[in-house]
Amino acid sequence: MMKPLPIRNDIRRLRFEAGEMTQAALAERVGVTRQTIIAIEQAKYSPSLEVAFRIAVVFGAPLERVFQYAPGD
Amino acid sequence: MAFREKISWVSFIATLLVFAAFLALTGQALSEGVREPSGYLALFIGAGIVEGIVLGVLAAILAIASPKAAHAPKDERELMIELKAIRVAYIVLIVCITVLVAAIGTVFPDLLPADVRQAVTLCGVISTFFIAELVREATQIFQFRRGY
Repeated sequence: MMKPLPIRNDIRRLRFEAGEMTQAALAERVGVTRQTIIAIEQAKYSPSLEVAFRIAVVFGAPLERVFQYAPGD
Repeated sequence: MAFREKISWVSFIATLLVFAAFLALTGQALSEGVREPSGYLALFIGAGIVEGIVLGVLAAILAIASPKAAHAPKDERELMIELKAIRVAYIVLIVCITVLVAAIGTVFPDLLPADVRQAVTLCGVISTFFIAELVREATQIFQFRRGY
C-alpha cells in the first residue's frame, strides 16, 4: 500500500467551482498530462513548486488555498 | 491510459517476445553445435533490428491515434517515472553482470566445455541487456498503474 503523501489539495473542488473545469482542461492550461492532474488530485504525486504555482494561478487562488501541508495525516 | 504508458506496454511486450525468440534460437544453435561467437552476435544485432522495426511501427500507430499526446513533451511526472525506472534497471544490470562475472570465474570452467564457453558467455552478456530493459519498462508500467 502506497504511503499517503503529506500534501493535500482542493483541486477537485476548485475545478468544480471554476465552471466545472475538466481535468483535461486544467492539464492543458498547466502544461502537464491529464494523468498527472489525476495523480495530484488523488495525492499520489506531489507536483514541483512551479507546477503547484501554475495550478494556483489557473484558479486565481493563493497557493495555500490549493495545497495544504499535513504531515502525519 | 496515457500515451507514454501505452508506449511502455508496447516496448515491454516487444522486448519480451524478441528476448524469448533470441533465447530459443541461441538454445537451438548451441544444441546443434554452433560455437562461433560471431553467429550469436549476429543474432543479437538481428534481434535489435527486428525490435526496432516492430517498436517503430507500433509507436507510429499509437502516435497517429493520439497525435497531440505523441508530440507533447514528457511532463515532470513522466520524467520522474522514467528516471526511477532507469535507476532500478541500472541496479539490476549491475547485479546481473556481477552474477555473470562470478559464474565465468567459478562454475563455467567446471560446467561448460571449453569450446562452448565463449558463446555461452556472450549470450549471458546479451541477456543482461534484455533483462535490464525489461525491468526498466516493467518499472515504468508499475508506476503508471500505481498512479504515481
